[in-house]
Amino acid sequence: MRVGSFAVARPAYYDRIPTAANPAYYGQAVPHAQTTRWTVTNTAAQKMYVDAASITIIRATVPTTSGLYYAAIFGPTGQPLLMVHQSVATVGNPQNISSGGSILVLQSQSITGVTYDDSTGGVVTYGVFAHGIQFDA
Amino acid sequence: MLIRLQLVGTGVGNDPFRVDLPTFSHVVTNETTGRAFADVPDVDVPDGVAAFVRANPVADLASPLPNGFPPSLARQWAEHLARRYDLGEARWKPVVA
Repeated sequence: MRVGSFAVARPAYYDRIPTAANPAYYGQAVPHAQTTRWTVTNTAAQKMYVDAASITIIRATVPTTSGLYYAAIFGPTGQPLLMVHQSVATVGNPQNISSGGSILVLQSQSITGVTYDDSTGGVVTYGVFAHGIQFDA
Repeated sequence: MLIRLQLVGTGVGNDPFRVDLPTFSHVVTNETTGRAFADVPDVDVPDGVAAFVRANPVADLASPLPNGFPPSLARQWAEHLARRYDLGEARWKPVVA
């Protein structure tokens, strides 16, 4: 009788029925309460590596009164993975941040991209982007 | 596909304005009318809802829908999402608005 092991390594995550998730928001907005611009949710059979993310905010027009404005990407438990905020009134004043590396989002969990502006008047341009690979858990 | 949806949430604390879907992107909102445009993955939209959206085009966030969104399609969409995300419950209840 021949005895062998059934222990076989699983393929790497990027070979387990991978699909790309490219959540994005790029646009201009007047002052607003916190608003979710995108969400990516795993099914119960998926996990996801988020391998890149970036945020940019640029004031586009002068506000009457400048308040806090920000853009952020929140992880599964609501913690910010990336966040850029400022409160300047100067048009063209940019803030940017980008991140490489990975976070793992488990089954049925989500990441979200949000924006917020507590100013009075004025417009801000926001860019909130991420890239992930969803794969068979 | 691009769909105009009912906005949910209060914008306060952990309850941001959003659309009631598991996956979407490129959201543009009008808090006054309570509507938002969102780009929704085709795989998350059942055929009946996609047909309704195509048959009821809207160009802005203010104009009313040409025809009301039937409750039967709302149920179909919620059940489709529950099956696709394998939750066993209708956690998301999106409404074309």
